[in-house]
Amino acid sequence: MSNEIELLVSVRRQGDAGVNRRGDVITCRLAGGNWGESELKVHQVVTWPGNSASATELQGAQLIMAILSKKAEWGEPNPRVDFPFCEVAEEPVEDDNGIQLVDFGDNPVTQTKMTNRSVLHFDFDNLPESETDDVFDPEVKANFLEADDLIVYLEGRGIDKRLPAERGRKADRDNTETDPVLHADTALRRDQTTDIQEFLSREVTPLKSWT
Amino acid sequence: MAVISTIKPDGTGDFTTLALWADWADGDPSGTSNAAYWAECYKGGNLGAVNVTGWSVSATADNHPKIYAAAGQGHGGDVTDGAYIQTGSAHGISSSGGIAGLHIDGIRIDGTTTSHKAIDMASTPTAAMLYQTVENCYIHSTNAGYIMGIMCGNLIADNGAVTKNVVIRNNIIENEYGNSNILKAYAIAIGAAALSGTTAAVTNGFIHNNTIVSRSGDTDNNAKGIGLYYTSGKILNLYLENNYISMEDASSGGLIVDHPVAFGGTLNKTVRNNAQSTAEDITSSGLNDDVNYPGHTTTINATQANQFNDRASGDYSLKETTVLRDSGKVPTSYGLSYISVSSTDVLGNTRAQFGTWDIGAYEYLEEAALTGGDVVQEILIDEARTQGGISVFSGGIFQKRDDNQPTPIQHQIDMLNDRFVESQRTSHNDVHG
Repeated sequence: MSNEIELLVSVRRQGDAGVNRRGDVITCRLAGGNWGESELKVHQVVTWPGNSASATELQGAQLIMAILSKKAEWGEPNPRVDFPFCEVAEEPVEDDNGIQLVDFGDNPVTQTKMTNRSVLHFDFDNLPESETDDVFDPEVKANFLEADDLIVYLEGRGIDKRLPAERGRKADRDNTETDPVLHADTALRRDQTTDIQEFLSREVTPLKSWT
Repeated sequence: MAVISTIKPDGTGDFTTLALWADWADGDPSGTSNAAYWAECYKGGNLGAVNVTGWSVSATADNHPKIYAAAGQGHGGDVTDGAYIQTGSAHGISSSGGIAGLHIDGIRIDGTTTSHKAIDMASTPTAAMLYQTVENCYIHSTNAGYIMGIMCGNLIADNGAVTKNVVIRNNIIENEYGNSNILKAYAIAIGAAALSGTTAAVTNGFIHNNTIVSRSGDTDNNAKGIGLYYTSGKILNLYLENNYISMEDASSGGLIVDHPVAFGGTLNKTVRNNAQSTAEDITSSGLNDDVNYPGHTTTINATQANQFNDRASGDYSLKETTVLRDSGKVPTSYGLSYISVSSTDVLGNTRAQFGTWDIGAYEYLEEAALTGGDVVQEILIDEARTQGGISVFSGGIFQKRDDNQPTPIQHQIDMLNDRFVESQRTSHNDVHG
């Protein structure tokens, strides 16, 4: 497996705080997919997994390839997988005093939230300035980059990238540490949120919306 | 001035997904404030879920964020058509923190997973005078189990003394049954409520002309139409008008008020010209005792159950014989500078048609008000030859005769024209010799 997948990576300049960071993968397509005019300027296409991918990356790539190929088989135009490397967690919701909220039927209130938009993360710092100028210029369609040419991070399980105020537990909101691991045991990734066998066995009729 | 981006999943527009658009617009790249960003959505694939959050917006009539189906890209009442979102592992459209003025128009949302709502704009709003509008959307589920349709207003957290104005109109929502967790399985939920805290806050909710349908067996009594929440210290000013809740094959449903006594709060309500299948829920809800409009909820019994052209196939346009025709009323004015009462239905047809408003998302289309699309349909099926009209296949204009044999009017026009030309020639000769 070389570069059969194109990842669209956020390069907006809002910095590294919060769940929407520069370097996150927002969506992906099979190589040769169609991208929007503006998104090619304001985001960056990275071909992946490349020749130096880790075993975990290759495993992820196989899963994504299976999903994308199945969608193409169904006739879905320009198929993609959104947030292919996101992590979600189910967490209790507490009030400002740390008291667990209960709903109107006295059931504990919980929420399923995206805690990390992309555990696969890219850093563009090792690119020459001549290339980064294009990558970060929102008026320029930069050339596609290869994952092999970038610094790739695969983040550990359970890191909560949200701003403290967005977290459900008061204790978590009080935690101002950078990248705290708050959901080590509960965070779910794509391979845990997608039953691939069930997905592949689906029979899908093309929609009028696809034409 | 709106900064309009086209969202075309096939790759022929500015962006292919709403999330990519929002990620870009988040940073206000045009320097116009986030209020200016509009996402014009097209068919060609799934637009993807989007969370519009953290935007600072002071909404006005001309300046507010918007996500809408482009002209000709709407669902047209077809559950498989139009610009659409599949919810996946997130709410279809969410607005964590609340975005003033966020306007959603004409999008079809397919709830494919449980636990996620089609539209969630109720979480912890903190700014004053928030506006939310959801109109002309088609919300449904292809997944067995519940979906929550539209959730708006002040809910969950105590947000301070904020006022929120919510308009939910002309939507079609197919409901499914669910479990007993908070708010799940409501087609529409609106609140002036907090699970903790009693700070005064106001929600003004204008919910009118929605069609809500449950097509599943509701064995656990959780399929619900419109849910209301108002807790101590909060005020919910509610206008429920012209809605149709069709849950004839469910054991519950309809207009529901949850715990109006136990949680305190104030409900000021105007409930009129709605229709639903059972009397049970309005009886227990307190929504049938409006002193200003007593008896203005129509109960449709089993023998009248099907008010639609083809309920089983998901065609919720109105039958000619439906009691919903001309049973509505012009909704109460919102009194907002930001948005006024719409004079069209879910498909953009004018309300009212030769009478007063119909109940539900559709206005029954009277014959005399056929749209251009209907005429084209007539042309395409070529019944014009026998029914009268224009035939592109046979050519010419036809009129209907008693024996149903087509009579080409064009021939008659040509004959008349010949006579006219001849007459003119004669006249010319008379004058000029």
